Amino acid sequence: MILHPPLPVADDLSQAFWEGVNERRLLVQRCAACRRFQFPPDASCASCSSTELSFEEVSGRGAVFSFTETVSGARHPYFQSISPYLVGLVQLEEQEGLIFASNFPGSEYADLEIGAPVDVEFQEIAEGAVIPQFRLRTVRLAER
Amino acid sequence: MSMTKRHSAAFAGFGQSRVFRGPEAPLGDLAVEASLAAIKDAGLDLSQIDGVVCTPDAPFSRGDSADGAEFVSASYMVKALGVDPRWTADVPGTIANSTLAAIRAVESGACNYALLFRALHNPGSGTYGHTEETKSGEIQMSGTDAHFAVEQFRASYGLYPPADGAALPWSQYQAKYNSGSREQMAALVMQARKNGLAYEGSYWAQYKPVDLTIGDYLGARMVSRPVCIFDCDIPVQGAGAFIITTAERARDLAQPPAYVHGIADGVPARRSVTVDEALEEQLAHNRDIGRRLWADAGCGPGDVSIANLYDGFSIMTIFWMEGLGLCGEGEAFDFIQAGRISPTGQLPINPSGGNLGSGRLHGINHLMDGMLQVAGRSGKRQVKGADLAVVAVGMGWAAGAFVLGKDPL
Repeated sequence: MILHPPLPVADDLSQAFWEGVNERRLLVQRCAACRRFQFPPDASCASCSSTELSFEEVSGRGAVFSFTETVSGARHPYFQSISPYLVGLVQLEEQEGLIFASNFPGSEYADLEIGAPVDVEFQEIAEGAVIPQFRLRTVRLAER
Repeated sequence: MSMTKRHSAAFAGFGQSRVFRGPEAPLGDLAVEASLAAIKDAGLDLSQIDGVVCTPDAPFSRGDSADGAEFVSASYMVKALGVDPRWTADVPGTIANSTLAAIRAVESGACNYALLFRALHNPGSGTYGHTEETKSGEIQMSGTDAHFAVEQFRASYGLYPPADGAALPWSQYQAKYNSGSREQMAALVMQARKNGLAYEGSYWAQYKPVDLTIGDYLGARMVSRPVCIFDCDIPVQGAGAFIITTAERARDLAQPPAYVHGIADGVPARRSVTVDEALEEQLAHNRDIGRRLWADAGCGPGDVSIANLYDGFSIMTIFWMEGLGLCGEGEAFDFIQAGRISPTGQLPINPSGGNLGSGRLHGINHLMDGMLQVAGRSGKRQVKGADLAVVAVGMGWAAGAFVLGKDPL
């Protein structure tokens, strides 16, 4: 039995995003017409309906948007095996609503606070499978 | 205000099946049991049922599941009852969505007597999703987890709706309003259990008829902080059914009807924050439904005497209270204290227990209570002066809200 998190499966819209992540780059869809970013990727702009979208690298800097500690009730055996674990959302500094999931590696529940700054890093969750993670900036500094 | 009557529908009958923790009785049988009870309650004959509508969606992926076992469709019911309806529909979402369809169907003349039912399956394994080991030894999820494109951005983090979908906006709420502690939430969850114990159809009343103490709640197993096990409704297997007809026809049936005063639904609008788990999204969508509901009903949140607000997770009731304007923004946790939401309080909420106090029948309890209260049929649970009820069921696109009244429009 191989225990790792469920692996992301790219679709036509998200392929460029996951290719970027595999190269350790955070690429986000941006609208050529209204210049807004959006995530997850979509076929048209969620702000102005334009279909002129392209992927652009973003800073990877953001802030904790919300968080929880899943103590019990995880459904996947991998997450059952590591419970309790942190999970939540971060919002990138580029734009309101640009929101990603994260496990806040290196942090404890008590460390987390909504609005606390985070930075992107990339985690290989299984051979060849990489996902973006976001680490508290204070944790990053403390570890240096 | 326009003098044109917006609504001409009424709730004329209700029935609920036996309720079990797991699949102790076939789901199809339970759906039929509830439907026959509702038809009998209204004083109708099977031959008069000319509309059949339901929400067959299980709370998990249907996959290879079977009609009558894991879910029950309108066509299953048509065959099981041997009726010959002019109108049938399987409406996705929750019972809110099929209730809206039933009201619109009788108001449009598509049918005269709509049988509306909802059957909820509980596999009994403790979770709706399940895991499978593949030939290569990989563990994969099936069930709810792999079925939406958005899961590619969540599942790898162990971010699983629905519990995290309650925990995350609750954590935002706590930070934004400096309110919403577990000690505060206890008031709502304990009241729900107390109310549910007074309802004979409640899972808790039938199988575990004990009050929930503050110690039970604060000491409970955590699921996703701050959500504990008692903030989650208990999955059960059972069914409920309603008869929806026109107000005119309802007057001649066996029971006093509950008249439809207003309805509202709608998919979440385009917004700058569109993540389902965001507090902003959940509150904004509930506000949109509230705005439509009060406009349609021609009354406001200050006019209703009771509220039945969806509580699959306790925090959802808070979001409905604020979204519908039953209290101010950031004030719901203060409002639920001091008995204000008890059956004798300022605004009784979920007087039959809701999901938390009666089990996961997905809004059947809320519609039943709103309907029976305004019709004066709630027996020992009857709230004095309950002549106008607001009922809100579900969340997101699978939500709907209703104003039901004792008097016809």
